[in-house]
Amino acid sequence: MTTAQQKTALAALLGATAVIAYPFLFPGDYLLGVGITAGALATSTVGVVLLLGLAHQLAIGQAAFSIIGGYTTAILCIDYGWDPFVALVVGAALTMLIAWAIATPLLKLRGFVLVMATLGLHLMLIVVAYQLPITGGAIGLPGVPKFAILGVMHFTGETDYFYLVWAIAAVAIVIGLNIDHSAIGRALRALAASEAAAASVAVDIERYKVQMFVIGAGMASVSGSLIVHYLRAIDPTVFGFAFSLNLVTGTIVGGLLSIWGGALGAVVIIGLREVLRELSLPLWEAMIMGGLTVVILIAFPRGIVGFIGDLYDRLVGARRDLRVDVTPPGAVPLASFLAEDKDTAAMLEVADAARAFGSLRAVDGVSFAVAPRSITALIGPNGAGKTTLFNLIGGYQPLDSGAIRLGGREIGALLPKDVAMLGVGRTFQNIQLFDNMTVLENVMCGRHRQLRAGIVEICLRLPHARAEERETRRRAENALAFVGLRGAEDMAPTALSFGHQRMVEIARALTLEPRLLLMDEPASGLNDTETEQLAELVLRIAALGVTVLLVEHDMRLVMGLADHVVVMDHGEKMAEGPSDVVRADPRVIEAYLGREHDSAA
Amino acid sequence: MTALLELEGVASGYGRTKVLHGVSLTVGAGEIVALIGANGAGKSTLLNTVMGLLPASSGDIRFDGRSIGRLPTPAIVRAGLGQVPERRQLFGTMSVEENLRMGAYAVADRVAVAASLEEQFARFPILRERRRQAAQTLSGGEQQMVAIARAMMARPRLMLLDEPSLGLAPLMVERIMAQIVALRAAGNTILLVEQNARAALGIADRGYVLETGRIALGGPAAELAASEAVQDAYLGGQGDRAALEQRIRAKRRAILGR
Repeated sequence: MTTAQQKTALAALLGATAVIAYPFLFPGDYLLGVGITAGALATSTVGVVLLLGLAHQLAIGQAAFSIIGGYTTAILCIDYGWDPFVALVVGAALTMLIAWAIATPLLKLRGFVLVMATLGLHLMLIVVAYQLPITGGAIGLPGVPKFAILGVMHFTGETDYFYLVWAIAAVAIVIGLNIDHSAIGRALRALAASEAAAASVAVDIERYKVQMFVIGAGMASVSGSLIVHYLRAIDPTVFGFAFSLNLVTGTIVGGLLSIWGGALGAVVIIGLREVLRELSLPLWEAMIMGGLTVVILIAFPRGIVGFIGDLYDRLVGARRDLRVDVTPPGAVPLASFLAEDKDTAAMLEVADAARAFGSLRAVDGVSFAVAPRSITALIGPNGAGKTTLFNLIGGYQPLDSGAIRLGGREIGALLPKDVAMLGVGRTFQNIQLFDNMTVLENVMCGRHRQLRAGIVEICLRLPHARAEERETRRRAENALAFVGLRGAEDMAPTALSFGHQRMVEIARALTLEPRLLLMDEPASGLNDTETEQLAELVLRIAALGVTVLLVEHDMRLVMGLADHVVVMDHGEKMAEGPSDVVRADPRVIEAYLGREHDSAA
Repeated sequence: MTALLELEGVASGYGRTKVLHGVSLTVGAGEIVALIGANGAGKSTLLNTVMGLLPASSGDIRFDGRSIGRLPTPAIVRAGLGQVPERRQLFGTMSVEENLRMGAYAVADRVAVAASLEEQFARFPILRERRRQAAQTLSGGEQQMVAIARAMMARPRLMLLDEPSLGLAPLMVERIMAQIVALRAAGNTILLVEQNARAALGIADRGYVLETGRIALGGPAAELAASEAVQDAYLGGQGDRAALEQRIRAKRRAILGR
């Protein structure tokens, strides 16, 4: 069991024990009611973790969705006599539908604008609840029945309902954990660490953001219905701003980056409130709650769960001495992934490509072709437009004019994730690893292109999703061994030397199973020994049938590796040809290589 | 030669990870001192510790005879140290001139700032042409010039340069190194951290080799460049520089058969 699995198992064990024991330790309807409220809130805070902690969307008006769920439940049960469970499910479905409809425009907003927009949405719904006849105005809807499931199970006693609410919270936690440990969880963490690198491995981030928003809304809706059945009534004040705020502070105090943090946060917030009430300090409640929250956050910046996790690592986690079993690149073969070559004459064709920044013509009518299975190098002085051209090919910047074709297909207008989807991998000049994940998880991120499991399969960890996850892990381990870094799987990328970090980046790009690999100055910052290893690795990759295009300043690497060299200067192509021809070109020596290389040539 | 910067047994690192284990070195006024070493040896950690961005857990750092080891970064900058950080760290969306003015942020005297700006434009004429252009649209070499000029704006008595050659074309590396020599000729003192040992030792007066957080060697730059240990570890062996290319070509024939 890995440390992460141990922690999950331990948290589940402790949580289950606490829930089972609670009615025995704190009997009586009032205290059971406190436990019910905490459980209902926990369902919601798990959604907050997914949305704020994982997807980094500052959408904090979650209570708006509790309003929709709560009122739907109340109306269906009171006015139409529906079964409470069916009403809860229908309410959640309706809420998720509404959330899905507004997600795309809403999530275009960022940061504080999104905060205001979601709070505005919440406010609108409160006003609507006050005004509509069907919602009962300020008086609301009294007479909600006790919870029941399809007329078979009735939850009349508070203890029964307490266990039911926590069973539902447990389902929310399991769904949250499944997402967190899935390709979606990795993709969202990848986005937080480096947007460019996430796009380079074909992560479709907009889709995941919408999914988290919709799932979070569903959880808030269920939470709302559960609370309404406990209160036996609903009015516009039940899910007010205080409720929204409690959700967010609770989650932050518990630990925004962990599903468990969300659940624990709900318990802590409700518990604190009760303790203060017990001390008869209701007037001071808001102030003390606020003060305590600030103190907790200063003491434990990653929340209570973050603190406990660190403590566990220090006490129990007796850190295994992680050792990288460094082997020469290619010593472990990589499972082949390229179909038989049916490509046209050129893998990549750049035709009259142009891109200007204001009056600066960064790329000014450049044309060249990259033969399939070749190693092609793009060289030239700084400012010649090499990186811009790379960005045009990768879709990071739009073309002003001209065309870029991959295997005959026009890709000039595509976004980075779509270019990656077609099998173009890339590495970055300034290494872009996801520092918030382990080395193996970084490499696993490369496999988004091959993933097919849907959101429901992932949430419920159905066999297809599990098989894909296993395959992703196996391929990533293989790629890591191929670049020569077996044993580094569980390490943090930052614990590796710079040269090894570059190898991890290459392994990630290989997991994409690229037809074309773009490498932006792969040898920059490497010493001679590392450069030689890099050269060996590039050759092994080319031997797999992958076409390689690299920008590089180390002429020994370029001249040693490349079949074909393209020289750029001032945004234009100055020369191209086999390395020895280019090296002897007096114009290239004059503009770029300088005298040292002149004499060496 | 008076020592401008002295490090004595400095240890430092990130959290519980120790990177430097008792480093001692001196930089004399008017010198270029090169600090070379492999990735991860602790070169940037050393610069960050001198600048007060990382606390030294033990040892002493003296600047002009005065201990600066416990001072916060702004006070160290006021004392006369300037840093050109690794990967330049420009304010990308701001213009070249705005970037330079940020370098003199702590200088209240507007006349002095204007004079300093004029000095930088005289030093790097291309930056005058580009003064209104956003820094991120400049080429790598020009960006390095902005980074150096920005650090010079406050007229530091000691410049710490972190990997100025990183990501630059061979010709541009030569130009930047020539600029650093020109800075010394103008009376500046420079501590130059470089992965490119050949370029750094080529212009430095003295040098130190940092290996896994310790000073392994130190001495006049020419002697270091000639020493077998440095040649083997940092200059690509005794043979000529092209040996690596030949080895790569041999691998290519073996692996790709072409």
